[in-house]
Amino acid sequence: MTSERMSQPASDMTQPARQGLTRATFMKGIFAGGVGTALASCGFGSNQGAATGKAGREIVIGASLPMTGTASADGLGLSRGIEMAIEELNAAGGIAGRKVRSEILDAKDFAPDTMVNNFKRLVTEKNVDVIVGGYQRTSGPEIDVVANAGVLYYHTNTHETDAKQVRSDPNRYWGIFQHCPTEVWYGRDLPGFLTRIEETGVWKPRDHTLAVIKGNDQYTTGISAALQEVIEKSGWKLALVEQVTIPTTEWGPVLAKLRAANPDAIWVTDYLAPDEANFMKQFAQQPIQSLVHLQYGPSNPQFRQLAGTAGDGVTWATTIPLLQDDIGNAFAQKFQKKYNETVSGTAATTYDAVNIYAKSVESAGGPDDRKKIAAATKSMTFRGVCGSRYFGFDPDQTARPYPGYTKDSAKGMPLGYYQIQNGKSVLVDPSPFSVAKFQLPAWMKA
Amino acid sequence: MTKELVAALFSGLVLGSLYALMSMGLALVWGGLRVLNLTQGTLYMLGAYAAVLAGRSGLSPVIGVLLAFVIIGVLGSLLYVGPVRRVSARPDHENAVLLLTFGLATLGEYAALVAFGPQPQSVQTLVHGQFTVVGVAFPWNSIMMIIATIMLLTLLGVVMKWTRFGLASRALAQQADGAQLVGINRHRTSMLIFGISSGLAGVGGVLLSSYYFVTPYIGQNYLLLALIVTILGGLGSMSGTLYAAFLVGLIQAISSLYLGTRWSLPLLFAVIIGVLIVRPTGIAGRVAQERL
Repeated sequence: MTSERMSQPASDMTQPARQGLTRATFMKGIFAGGVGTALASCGFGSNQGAATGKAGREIVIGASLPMTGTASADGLGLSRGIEMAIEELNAAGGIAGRKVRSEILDAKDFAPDTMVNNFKRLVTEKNVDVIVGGYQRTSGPEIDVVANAGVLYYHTNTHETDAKQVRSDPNRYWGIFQHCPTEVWYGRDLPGFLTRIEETGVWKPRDHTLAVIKGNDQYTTGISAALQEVIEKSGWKLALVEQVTIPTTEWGPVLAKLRAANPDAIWVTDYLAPDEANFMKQFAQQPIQSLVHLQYGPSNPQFRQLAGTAGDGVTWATTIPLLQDDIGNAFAQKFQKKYNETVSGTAATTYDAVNIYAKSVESAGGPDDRKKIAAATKSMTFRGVCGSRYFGFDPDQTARPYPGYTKDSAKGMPLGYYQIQNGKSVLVDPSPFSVAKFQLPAWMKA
Repeated sequence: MTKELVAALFSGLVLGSLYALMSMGLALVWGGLRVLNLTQGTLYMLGAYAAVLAGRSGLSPVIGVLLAFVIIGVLGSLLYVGPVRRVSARPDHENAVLLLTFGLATLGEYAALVAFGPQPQSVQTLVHGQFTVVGVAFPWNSIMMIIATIMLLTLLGVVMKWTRFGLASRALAQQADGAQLVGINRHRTSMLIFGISSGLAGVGGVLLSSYYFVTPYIGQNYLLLALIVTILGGLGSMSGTLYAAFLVGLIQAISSLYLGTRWSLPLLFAVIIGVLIVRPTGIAGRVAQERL
């Protein structure tokens, strides 16, 4: 996105003196830019894990992750999840006796051509056995690249369109698994969460109104549309729906509208941690009696650091929660010890993806019969650091949420609702995974 | 509705300040050398990181501003003395400088990514507290940023109009060979222009860091709007840059309030197209014939 922003005005400026552009000048400019790109590429295509296998060929796990660009903090977490999983698997003898290594390509700012090119490189040049995610902002084309190559793909694009694509032709997309519920569940389940909080008696909504601040991309428009589909029957009603352009720095006009609408709850679907942290800082300057529910951003530890005390009290949800139980906490501690940083939820997603694949390969008896591995994935119930995955609910091979879709917490993946309390995110819903009770935010006690 | 309008107007002024801080360096370099320096965004980003480092070292924000001006200013001067000067001797130097600075900006961003990592960094606000009028909160930090922006741009305008350096810069912009013939040291003046514009970008970065978060890409995010502001204001005009920056900020804020945020950019571009049709040289730009 940023390079696109720069290139347009640059080309406009050059017009008056276009005849002066020589090949040598052009090459100088390209060289200068190219060095930067090469620098950024260093280390991302690393061969993590052992270089040689003890029996048979190595298993290669590929990924296209945003290692540079606006989502590079996510990319770092996602790559670390892969790194941790591979290290553990290799330490335990590999997968089905084969050593494992990774090939990670930089998705930068998720430009569609970059994404497709990366996936083509992974399946042809890198000869990967499986691709794990991670997410692609504008997904879809990469699914066909993977299907054409007959490679397995475990992703968390969190896109209903991807589920529909697989459901439309299960024979073609046999190897595509979305190991989290799709984004529509954020919208479909939100009224239920608000009602469950109300039922605790801690929070008493005035008139059951909700304001939605949605972004301008597939993800945010999808989740807000899903909410609008179910809200009428939920007992809640919309007080305001406002669209913003992601990223948004200055929230003044939006906050002015929110203060005028004075809803019981505000849902901000701009998922970038810095944007949401800035929203909370500006909201805190003159708060209103509204519960603030943020999308995704607070899952990044950076949110708490950036928002500071202004972030205390907000709730947020994720379809891929790092559970705060024994399994999840052990992973978080290992992460902290290895990287000396608070664990990122993104790391947990790829950590689970690699382990879903590993268990499926073990079950299938090896990495070569990929259809057999896919069948193993579909028939098993996997319990990872982010909860359970079962891919047999529907031909779309996508996980389903608990309790929104299934009441079976052993098969459904908990749609985790967190609240930031004293600077820490604690899981407050759903039971039995919750570890703390919802508390009324400080700005609502005044 | 008055309360909402006041809040939106204030937001527009804050946005205008951010755009003006970013644009003034571009305007200065264009005003003096008739080239676009695309490293401005990167220098802005480095200024913001200077604030991060100053904060970690326990230095006062004022020292951070001064250090950013000096260090980033020296860096900008070196940028001219090194690569830019080499290519500016060529007859096609406008394009060469554009491409060169684009390449260096990319390199600088990746260097920052390696040095500081991708995670956003926060800096303590330079001024704490706020006051409330007609039910709208006005943070002192934002007020300080608006005032500092107006002061910096006014000072720059005065320097460009009333000092020997400003006169030399304008002479250089109009006809470099002629300026040299009357005794103006072309390279020293150009080096100073690069140095001052870079130093100002550094100061802009420090001020921005107290308002938003610092990432290796923060400069790029504002570069497009800075270019729009610079063109709308009239390339090279300090007063035009100031007017254009606040105009853009206010259009964005007011259209967000009354039409919705999604209409703010389309409306902004419609206004810019309209202005440029009526005044192709921008709000305060001078006609091209002045450049001999």
